[in-house]
Amino acid sequence: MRDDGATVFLPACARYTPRMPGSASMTDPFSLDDSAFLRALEAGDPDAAERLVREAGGRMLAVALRLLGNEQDAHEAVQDAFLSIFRSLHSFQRGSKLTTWMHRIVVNAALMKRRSKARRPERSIEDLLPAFREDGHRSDVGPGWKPIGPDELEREETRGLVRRLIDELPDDYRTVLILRDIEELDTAATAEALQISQPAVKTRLHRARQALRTLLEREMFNP
Amino acid sequence: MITCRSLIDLLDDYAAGRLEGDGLAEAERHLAVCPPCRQYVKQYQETIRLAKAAYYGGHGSEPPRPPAALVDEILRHLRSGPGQP
Repeated sequence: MRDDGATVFLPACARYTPRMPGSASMTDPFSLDDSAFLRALEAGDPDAAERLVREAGGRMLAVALRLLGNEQDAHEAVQDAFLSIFRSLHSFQRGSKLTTWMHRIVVNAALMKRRSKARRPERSIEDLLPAFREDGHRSDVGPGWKPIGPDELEREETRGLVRRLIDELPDDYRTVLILRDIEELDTAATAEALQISQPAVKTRLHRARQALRTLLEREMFNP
Repeated sequence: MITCRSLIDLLDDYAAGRLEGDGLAEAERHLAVCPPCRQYVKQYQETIRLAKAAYYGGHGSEPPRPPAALVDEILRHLRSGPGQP
């Protein structure tokens, strides 16, 4: 992903509003989280399979794009995820939510893809963390931030800037921030997905947020 | 009293409302006399809000459609696999 270190602007589907789990509408395949639809899928009904791909594919792609930042890689991750889903439908626990299960699978597929790619050189996060004097107190106090109201936050320009700043975080930190704060995996699930310890997840998340705060201050709130 | 650096170590749990007991008391005692840290805590929480809004804010409410080429590719793989739909 982003081997050239360039900033990535995600296409519209990566900015899709509702997250995969939890939403339901008449056209939502996950409102078809009913036994008849699941039975059709398990029986290999091609129409059910196609419907699932067509209706869930966009959401799956949005998740993969958020994690990978690259359309080609995200497409491949979604393909891998769907193949995994259809291969392992028999292991899907009835009573669980199909969306949650599929979300986990596409996250894992995207992380597998991420691990397989050459990593871009990591920038150090240290210069984005707060500085302290020797006595442990603050050596600098940045400017106060002007409030960002709902209208400004709705603007694509504002949201795009924040996404660009998140993309500037070192990859290991960006990934934890995306998994915990955006995809809303809990600490244990994030640790499992990334194959790191839970304390490491907590530390990286905390440092990622602090670094993003610094970037926001530099880009959005410096007078 | 804890230092600003020590408060940072507690900040994640404090911001999430998970801090209890002595840790919470220490954090609150420090924040009561340290305006820069009060400002930092607010900005930390605002950072989390802005990050979520960057992906989940906006007016988009319709599920995105996957590119047709991607759908075709997935279905082609599914149909070519043994025992697949």
